[in-house]
Amino acid sequence: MDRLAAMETFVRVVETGSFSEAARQLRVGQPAVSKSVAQLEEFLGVKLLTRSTRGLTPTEAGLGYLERARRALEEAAEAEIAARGAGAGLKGRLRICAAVTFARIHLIPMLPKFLAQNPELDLEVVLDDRQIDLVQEGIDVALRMGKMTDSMLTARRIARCKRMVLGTPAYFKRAGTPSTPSELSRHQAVVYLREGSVWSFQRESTELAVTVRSRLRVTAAEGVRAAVLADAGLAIASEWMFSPELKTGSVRAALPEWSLPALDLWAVLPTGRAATAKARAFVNFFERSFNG
Amino acid sequence: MSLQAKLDAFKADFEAGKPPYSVPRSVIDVMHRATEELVESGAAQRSKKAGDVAPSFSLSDAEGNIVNSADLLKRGPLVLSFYRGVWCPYCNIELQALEAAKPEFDKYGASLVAISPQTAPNSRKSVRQNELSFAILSDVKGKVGEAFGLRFRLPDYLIELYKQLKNDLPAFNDDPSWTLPMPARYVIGQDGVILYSEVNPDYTRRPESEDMIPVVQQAAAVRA
Repeated sequence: MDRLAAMETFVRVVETGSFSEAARQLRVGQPAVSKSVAQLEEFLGVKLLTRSTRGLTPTEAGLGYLERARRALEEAAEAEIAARGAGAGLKGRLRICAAVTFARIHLIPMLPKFLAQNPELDLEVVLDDRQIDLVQEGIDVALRMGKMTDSMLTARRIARCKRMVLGTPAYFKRAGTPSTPSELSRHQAVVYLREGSVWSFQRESTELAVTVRSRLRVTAAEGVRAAVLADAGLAIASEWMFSPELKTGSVRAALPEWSLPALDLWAVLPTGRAATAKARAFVNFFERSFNG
Repeated sequence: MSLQAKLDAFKADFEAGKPPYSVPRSVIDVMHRATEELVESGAAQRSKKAGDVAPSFSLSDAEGNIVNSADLLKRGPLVLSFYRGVWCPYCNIELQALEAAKPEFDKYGASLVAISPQTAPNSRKSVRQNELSFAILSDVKGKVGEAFGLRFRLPDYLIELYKQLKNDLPAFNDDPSWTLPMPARYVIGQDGVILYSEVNPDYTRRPESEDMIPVVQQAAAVRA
């Protein structure tokens, strides 16, 4: 019995939940898949799968084996890449996930260079402002902002960014420039619904929070950006979100003596599987390009 | 002159050891250490803030009348100031600044009250000494300060210092716990939700009283 091939068959069966689907993906017949799993169970001396009317589910022993089999397969793939040498390059598909606006401004423009450096690699970029399930969506690496709360993920901090109150010169001309956070209650705010209408500030040791007035609330960062650029009001945003406009002066920061909690950018890998060489190469490339 | 400028001028004299306090440098160092540790503890970040529902209260003023937050909110927005006590010169300077801003709060139908853990006789002293026309409430055993997340226990080395300085908090507050509130200002809307919060773990920093006027004005406009 080819143990590595048997492991791969078993992993595919569990992931697809069916012998026939696993067979199709592995380009073999269904009897070969059934036989391979049966041989594996006989070799190990334990049942790995429970077959019921609701389909196939791994047993407790099967779950433990699944975890380790996945790691073994990834290690084997890594070993093959390493043995072929650095010149052999990265192959196949890498699925990256990031927030829409951040990706449009910062990530996507870097990708042609990464593709040129890795001619045998294809990229799939999943853009979503929400924190999607990385395992379910088959994501290899995600770029995420904010606090890391999910202990099922391995994260590495790439950068930290200032957040600020921003508006256009036309808005400031019309509504004035706030000189204290409390004056925000006289202004129009564009509220990002994920963050809400309470804005928190710090100056030295002082903690201040104020509820802002907003007639425009938006669910995606892209919409907040468009509203601010249309002179609709003030918004809290990271420097990253308006980096082109801050450079040209078409968006300006207010309340410079007050600071807002900073925003962290993380590269996140689903755990339970070793980071693939592809994901690691991407994180290194991104970190260098972004901070460079 | 802004309130903070007055506080800074007082602090400069106090820390230079000038009379009437004439405190030695070692005392200043202990006070600095306690403030730094309180800031570092992150307590100010865990206190009630804008967006939270304000804890309700029912406390006695300096004359023994019961003042109820629900009654005050029926009349208009509420400006609430937590201070440490009449023994704290920074608090007295701030109370005077609040008194000066009171006509503006009145204009928008907002109530102004100050809360400290001290007993009624000490509240009366606050009123007299600072010529205050607004209610000074006694927060017995610091319960309301606790509900706002402002109450903290003094570290042992600071308790020792206060004892030496005859700063007898257990007597002033009729409470053996050696606790104080962090100075804080709130503007509460008539629905009981906090619209503005500012907490100063460093008691030498206080906001300008006028800073709250835009918030009070907006709160009044919502009601109208």
